[in-house]
Amino acid sequence: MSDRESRPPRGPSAPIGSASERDELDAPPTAEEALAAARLRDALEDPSAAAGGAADALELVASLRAAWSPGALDPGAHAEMLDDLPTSEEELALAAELREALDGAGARPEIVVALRAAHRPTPLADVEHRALVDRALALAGPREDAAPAGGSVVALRPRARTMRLAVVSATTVLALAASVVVWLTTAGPHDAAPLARARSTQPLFGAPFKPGEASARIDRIAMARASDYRDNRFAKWGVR
Amino acid sequence: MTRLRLVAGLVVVALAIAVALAVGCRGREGGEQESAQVVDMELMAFLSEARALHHQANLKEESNDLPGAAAAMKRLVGARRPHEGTTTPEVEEVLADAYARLAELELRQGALDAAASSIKAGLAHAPAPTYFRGHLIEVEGLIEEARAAGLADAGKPEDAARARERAIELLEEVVRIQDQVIQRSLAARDGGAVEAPR
Repeated sequence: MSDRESRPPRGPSAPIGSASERDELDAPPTAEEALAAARLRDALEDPSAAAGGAADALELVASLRAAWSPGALDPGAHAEMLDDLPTSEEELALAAELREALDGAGARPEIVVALRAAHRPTPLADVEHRALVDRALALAGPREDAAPAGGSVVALRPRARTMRLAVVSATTVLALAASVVVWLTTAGPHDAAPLARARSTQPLFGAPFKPGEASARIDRIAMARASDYRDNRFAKWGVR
Repeated sequence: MTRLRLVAGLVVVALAIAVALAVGCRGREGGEQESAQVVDMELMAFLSEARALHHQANLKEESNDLPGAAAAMKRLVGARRPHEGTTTPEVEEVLADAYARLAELELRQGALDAAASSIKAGLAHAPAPTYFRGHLIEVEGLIEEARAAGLADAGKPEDAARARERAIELLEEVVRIQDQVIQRSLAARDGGAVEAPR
């Protein structure tokens, strides 16, 4: 045994500390290491030549070769590796049938359709969709509100629901309308002061007109309406 | 989809009912009040213009410029009226009175036909029995009276008699109208629903 075999192993993450440790790593191989390396090289070049040497070496060679350059397994070796691989004639025939059904475009067994739909769903064809709907409706029975004879379609009694919705909607809207009516009829004019409106000037005159008083009449009319106009302006300003 | 349509229809019907009710209530509440114009700036502008033209006519009359006074009244009856397309009582009555004064001025100038024409135009603004209508018919009676005198001076006794008869009828109508107006005015005053003369 060499000096290096006797020293304690160092972990992979352990840092290389001193210069003496680095010198040990760069040191030339021992005679034992060189011999092992030569055996591994020979086995890689010719695995059959290593049979006499060591079965362990062969296994290591196969592993290294598969990791470095993987190739196809032969069916026998693959069958030995997997216990559940169909090995009987019947199982192989069924597997072949399933593969053909998955790849083919003709009529497929129901299990194939289900598998394909679960794995990669696609839209239903119209004809297929229609057939499903017809079958569901047929199971629901002839009346809308009748319970299905044995199907999975449940009648929702749409008429009763619509009536309830209509009653609620109408009540709500009528309540809203009533509030609008109340608001419109109670607000506004009651709060505003009444404005003087245009009207006959007849009440300004207590007697039939006399000749030559035309300008006196228009004076009276103008003054009376000026007073009304002034009141209206004050009313609009909120002053009374 | 059908349910949505049903709900939408109900909403439309309910809103239509609400609007109809609201409009009905508003209309019933303030219908009469809303039908009359408020005394506003436009009306006051017209009354001011009328007053100015009447006083201008006064000045013309005082200087014996009867055509000038008549021209002032013609400006008034041709003036732009407030709230065109609507009838404002004050405007109608001021126009009726202006036509009456214009007819008087034309009568004083001997233009009987023009005066009669002015009376006819003025009566269109005073269809109801009021002092204004009574005054117009009174002036019309004076026109016929003047016409009768003119015809008598022209040696046309029969035409003069017809004109005189027409004048008497018109003045009688004036008496009826004025009596009617006074009765109504007194009744309104007793009821407290009349504007006191200022």
